[in-house]
This record gives sequence, structure tokens and C-alpha cells, in this order.
Amino acid sequence: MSTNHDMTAIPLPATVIELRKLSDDTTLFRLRLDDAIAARRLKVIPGQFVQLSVPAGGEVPISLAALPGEDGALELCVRRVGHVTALLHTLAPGAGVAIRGPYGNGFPVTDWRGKNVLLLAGGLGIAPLRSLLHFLLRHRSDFGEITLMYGAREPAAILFKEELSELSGRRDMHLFLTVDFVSEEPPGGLVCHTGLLPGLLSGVNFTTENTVAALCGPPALYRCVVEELQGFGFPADSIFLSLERRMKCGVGLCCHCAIGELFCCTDGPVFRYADLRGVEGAL
Amino acid sequence: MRKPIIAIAGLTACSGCQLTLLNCEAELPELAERFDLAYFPLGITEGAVTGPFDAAFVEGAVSTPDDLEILIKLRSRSRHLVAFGTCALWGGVAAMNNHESRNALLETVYGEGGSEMKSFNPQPFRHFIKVDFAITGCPPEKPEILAALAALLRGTFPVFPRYPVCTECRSRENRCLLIEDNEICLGPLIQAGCNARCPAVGIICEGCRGPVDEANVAAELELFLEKGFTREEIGRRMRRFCPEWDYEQRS
Amino acid sequence: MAKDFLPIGSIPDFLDALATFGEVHGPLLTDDGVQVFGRIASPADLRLDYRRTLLPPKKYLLPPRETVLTYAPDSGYRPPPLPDRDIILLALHPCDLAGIAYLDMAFTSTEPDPWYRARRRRLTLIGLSCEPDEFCFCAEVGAATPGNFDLFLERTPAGFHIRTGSRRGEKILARLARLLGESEPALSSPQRCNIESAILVAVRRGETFPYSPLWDEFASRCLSCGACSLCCPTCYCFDVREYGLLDGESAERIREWDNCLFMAHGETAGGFNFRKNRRERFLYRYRHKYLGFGPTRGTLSCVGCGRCREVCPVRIDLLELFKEER
Repeated sequence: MSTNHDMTAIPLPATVIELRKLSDDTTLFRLRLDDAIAARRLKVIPGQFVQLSVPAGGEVPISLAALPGEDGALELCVRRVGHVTALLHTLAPGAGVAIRGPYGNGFPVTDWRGKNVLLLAGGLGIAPLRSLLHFLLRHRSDFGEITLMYGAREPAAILFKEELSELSGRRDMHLFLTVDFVSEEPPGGLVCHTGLLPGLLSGVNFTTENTVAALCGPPALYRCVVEELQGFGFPADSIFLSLERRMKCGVGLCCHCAIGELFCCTDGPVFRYADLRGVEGAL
Repeated sequence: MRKPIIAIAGLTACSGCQLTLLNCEAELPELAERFDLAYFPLGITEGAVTGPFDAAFVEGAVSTPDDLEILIKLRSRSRHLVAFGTCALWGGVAAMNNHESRNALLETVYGEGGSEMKSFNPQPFRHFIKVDFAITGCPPEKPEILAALAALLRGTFPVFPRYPVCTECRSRENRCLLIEDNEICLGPLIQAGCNARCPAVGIICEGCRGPVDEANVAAELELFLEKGFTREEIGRRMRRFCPEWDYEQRS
Repeated sequence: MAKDFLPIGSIPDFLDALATFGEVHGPLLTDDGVQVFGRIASPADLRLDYRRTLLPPKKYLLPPRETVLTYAPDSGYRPPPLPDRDIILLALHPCDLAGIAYLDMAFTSTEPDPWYRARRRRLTLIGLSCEPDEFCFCAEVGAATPGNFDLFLERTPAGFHIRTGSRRGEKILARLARLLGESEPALSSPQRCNIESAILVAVRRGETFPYSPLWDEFASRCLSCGACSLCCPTCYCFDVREYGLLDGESAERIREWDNCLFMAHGETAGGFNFRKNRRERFLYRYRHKYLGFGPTRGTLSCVGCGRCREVCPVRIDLLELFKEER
């Protein structure tokens, strides 16, 4: 009983097992808890996050970019933006880090059975949606049409290019990519639109009936994409947004991440748009 | 782990910042072991600015052509350049009379012909070069110096809190010299990190650590005026360690 | 008649008896004349007639800055040894008791905090009735009735009526038996401060005063000094930072009181700020204080102690919002 809560307060040792550079400033880190039993026991709902500790740097909330592997490995897609992530990017395989979590509610995937799912990712927002997509594809028959729309700043900033080109060949899902501007040839094998994500939404065909939308991206993205979705007739309780805030503790104590009267860390990070409407500062 | 190669230097200043580092007596053996002190004129007799350095900790304001030359040399040969102390970051005490005539000042201090000396208004580094990190203070606090060096061992710099002296002062339950005694305490405007060293012994905050990020300068000014201080005295106090305040700034 | 009366002359013996249960702390006056909670080394230190301390008793549960974890490569992150001494905290006014009750709810209910809990277990709370001054308004927020104590002292001219509020309190009272006399009639009724309940009414309505001009006025005056939060018995926002040590391997993680009025409070890595201006930060503070976040949602956290009004250098007073309302 007491060990249980201590485990959520005290980060467990983990080791970086593999790095995959995804772009100039973004790397996919594969980590595993050193305690093999704890690693295998990790239960993750897509959309949840962990608190990642980099010794001497501190802790940052990072959403899980995949469901845990067979070996219990976790995948974190991290952009070098601040103090801790910069330090993380200096690490090599074998380096010791630590993890608490997973935390947060994640996407309500069980409620979505039988529905079409539209995933909308902007930039690094692809990370939590990737774990969601993995889940949907793993339980493919439980869901209707699956569509991923992903927008990046420029071709070089598109993350998970190989995976995307694999996904583009699948017949059981639709993939649409867009970049804000083109400064170079689009990466091989990928069909890419030009323009912002809301533009992509209005430019391609997708099913809106019986569909839920899952959205994650930079703060500026939400308002315009939500507006677009509502234009297509999405009800506010079918739009799910994964939000970013400054979550210092992850467990509803430090009080940095409140959105209205909700905590991003414990009530979110996934919110129905219906619950955010009218909340000042939410989007 | 490769030892970081460090330069420690001073421009126009009192060497107090460098001395504070030398006063970290308990940690000096460890510092000597962990770092390659490649250039440190105050502490090591031999040596010229060679480089390249992983980091240069440079104290003082820029006020002579020679200062500028050394600073640019260190900048171009260092991966990280650290503004070490209030003078380097804000101008410091040497800059308190920057609003007055340079020539008149030189003649007051050095007599007739003083104005021919090659010097200009003391200025902070950021007027000339890019600064990667700053350790403020006159002199800086030992724990902050040591935290910066420890972070450097990992190729990074530490995160220091960005709140004002008042925050630390209240945490220590000191008597509030501003409210209780109506003194001209600069605590609300000044970057913390000293653990309210002066107010803890009943001395007002003189502002030696320079402005805090979100200083509400305009409101503090109104408060001082309301308490009966003259604009002249307020200005004199505030300029003591930092000549350039935006008196309109509210956040 | 119940023996529950402690004559005022027995205070020194009372303190001696308490000392057998732990280190006795209570209100005292520092050399510069600040009322604080601190170690009561002799009966002369104790100031039972104090109005309010600068920092509230939360400092005993959530120190302004504490090391929460240390890191070493072979052992990973470990908490440092937690406090192992019992503290008897004496003469807490009902507002401060209510403040601790709120912190208990935040830190020990849904996601118990091991550091808070370790300190809380070793803390005995002894309350004391009080008289309001021009800054406090506990009756207005419903915190005037004492609760969350182990023992409570109700003051009369000749001494104190003692009542118990917990097992621990009963145990201590049993040890005090020889000091206690028969009841004297209590004061008619404890004095009440402001009776208007504008705050409760507004809070029940979920009022956020979105159109009040006061927000801009507060925002332009506030010095961001942090005093209001530091001195609030129920403000518990904390920041967490980590520093490497000079061996290049180990590290220390600290947590420290934070303040929602600081610019850095809503910042994420990379510099994006969810509460860019001070007005937004004031609204955030109001919302937390009066309407609650997360597990404290719907709970008014203001206990009416009046500290924030007293310690603000520019006399910002959130109560003005409610006055406007009336």
C-alpha cells in the first residue's frame, strides 16, 4: 500500500536502449525500466504521459509515442526545446534515466468501439496520436474508418517518415500529409499537400458520420482545427484534444497545469471539446 | 568524462567575482580535479588566452578598448561565454554615473588630462557580444557559481529561479523594511538568489543582483514616491548597480 | 464538573508536559519584532496574545524549500531521510487549523505525498481561540469554528478551557490531568468578525467576476513579490528543480514554494506561456483560492486569516471584488 504510492512519487530507474533521430531537433528514445517485472507490468492507455527524469536536469512530462513493446520498452518522442530535453539529447544508449507514471486519462478508446476515428496531428503532436494509431490498428476490427491527417512545418520536420510511408500503403486506413511550406523535395514515397492542417481538412474527403476526432498539436492549432471540425458537423463531445501544459508533478499537486478548474495532468491531458468550451485560456 | 576547459577572466571590475570563486575553499580541490583551468590570470601566473575553451567566465564591465578586445577574443574562442557577476550582466557599480558627462567624470577622478584616457561608459557584455549564461550578483553567491560549474560538467547550465528578493525574504520571515519601516528597499525589483542576505540583518536591498525579469518598475516607483522619496533619490538608488532601467515597465 | 480548565499560571508546567510528547513550537516574536511560529525554548518565548504569524504553519508540513530526492548512478533517485522528530505546534488559531485541514485534503487524499505525510504524522496541533483584527474575516468564509485539532484551548480571563479533537489529544490531556482544575464558566460566545457572507454567496455561484475592472488595476499595481502566496496558509503550488553536483554524477532535486502570480508559473519548455500577463495570473489565483482545482474543486480555500492583505506592499486585496458585488 505505502510502496504503491511511493512508486508514483519516486522515479524508477530506466535505461536508454535506443535512439532514432527523427529530425534536426527531435529524437525517438526507446527506454526500459531496469526492473524487468515492473517493465512488463506497465499498462498504458494511448494518450497517457510519463514523467521522465534526466539526472541533474530534472523532470519533464512526455507523452508515450507508442504502446509498451513486448520487452516493456517505452518510446518517447522528444524535441530539444528546454533544459531537460537538451540534456536528454546528449545521452547515448546505456545512459541511466528514470520514469514515473504513466499518468493522465488517455483517449477513451473503449467508448470509441464501432466508430470512425479521425486523427489530426500538428508537428510534435504526432507523438501521442502515434500510440493511439498503434492501438487502433492493433484492434482494427473494433473501429470503423481510420484517418490520420498530419501537418508539419516543412518536409524535413515530418517525423516518422518511414512509418508514414508504410502506413500510406495500408488499405485499412487513410493517410494525408501536409507541410506549411516546401523548401525542398518532399521525402521519397510520401504524397504531401502544401498548406496548414485546417486547409487539408477541407480539401480531402473523410467520413464525418459516427466519427470521433482526436487532435494534438502546438497551442495555436487547436482553435482553428476545432472550428473547421465543427463546420463539418462534429459535435463538441466527439472532438478530443490532447493538451500540453507545464505539468511539474503529474499527480494533481503542484498546481501549474490547471485549465479552468480542471487539471491537465489528472483530468486530462485528453479533454472533450465540450468540456473546454467557454473555459478561458483552454485553447 | 573529458575535463571541461575553462577560462576565468576579468575586465573593468574589482575581481570580487573571481575572488568569490577562489573563496569556495572546500570545493577548490574538486574543481581543480574536474576542470582544466586553462586561463585564469588572477589565480594562475602563467598563461595566455589560447583556447578553445568550453566556457569562459568573465567578470566586469566593458569600459576600455582593451576590455573589448579581451572579451571578443574570449567570445570567439569559447563555446559558452558566461557573464560572471552584476557588472558583466548589467554594468554594475562602475556604470552608476553613465548618465553624466564622461569627460567631467574622468577629470574629477584623474585630474586635468584625465579625459584623454582611452575609456568609455562601462557597459554590460550584451551590448557587444552574445552571452550564453549569466551568474548575477555583486559578488555572485557561491552556490550559484558551483551549480553552474557542476552543470557545465554535463555540458549544460542550471535553471535558477526568476523571482525577486522579497520571495526569499518573506520565506525567511524577515521584518519587511519596505512595509514596516517605509524604507527604500529594492527587494521587489531585484533578482533573488542571495537568500535576502541584507534584509535578514536589517539592511535594505540595495539591488546588487540587478533587475528581476518581471520587475514592475512603474508600480514600485509609484510606491516609493507615495512613501515620500524624491525621484532623484530613487533614481540614484536604482542606478547603483544597473544604469538602465525602464521606468515604465510594469511586467 | 469536568476537569478541563488550565489556569494561566500553569502554562510553564503545561509546556513541560507537552515537551514529553515532542519539540514544542508556537507563536513567538523574533528580534526584529516579527511574529512567527518557532521553537519555544522557555515559557517567556511564548506569545499567546499574538495576532497572526508572518508565515502560516504550512512551513511545518511543506518547507519553503526542501530536497525531495537525491540521485546517484548506482542507487537512482532516493528520498533523503524524512524528519524523525515529533513537533507539538501550539496556539494555532482556527483559521490556521482550517488551512492545515485544506492542505491535508490536497496532499493526503487522492495522491498522498510521502514528504507531506511523513511530516504530518509527526505534527500535533493545539488550537487557541482568537480575537479578530481589521485584516481577518474567518467567519465570512466559514473557518471561524475550530476543527482539525488534537487539542483546543478556549481562552477565558483566568486561563483556558481545553477540549480534545483526536485520540492523540486525549492521550496528551490525560498526561496533563494534574494541571487541570474544574471548569470556569466560558466566555459567553467567541467573538465573530465580519458577518457578511458575500464571499460564500459568490463562490457558491461559481462567480469569477470576468468584467470587473479590478483585475487590470491589480495587475498594474502588483509587484510580483510573491508575499501573498508565501504567507497564505493554503497556497501550496510548488516548483521542482534539479541540480547536478560537482562529482559530475549525482544530483539533488528540490521543491520550493511557487507563486501563480509569477510569470514563470505558466511557462512550458521553449518559452510558451499559458498565462502571459499578470491579469490572467490573477484570475488563475482567484480561481484556485475561491473555486478550487482538481481534487479541491468546489472547495473554498481562503480561511480568512488576513495575511495576504497585511503583507502586500501595494495593498492589493482580492476582497474588493466581493465588496463590489454587494
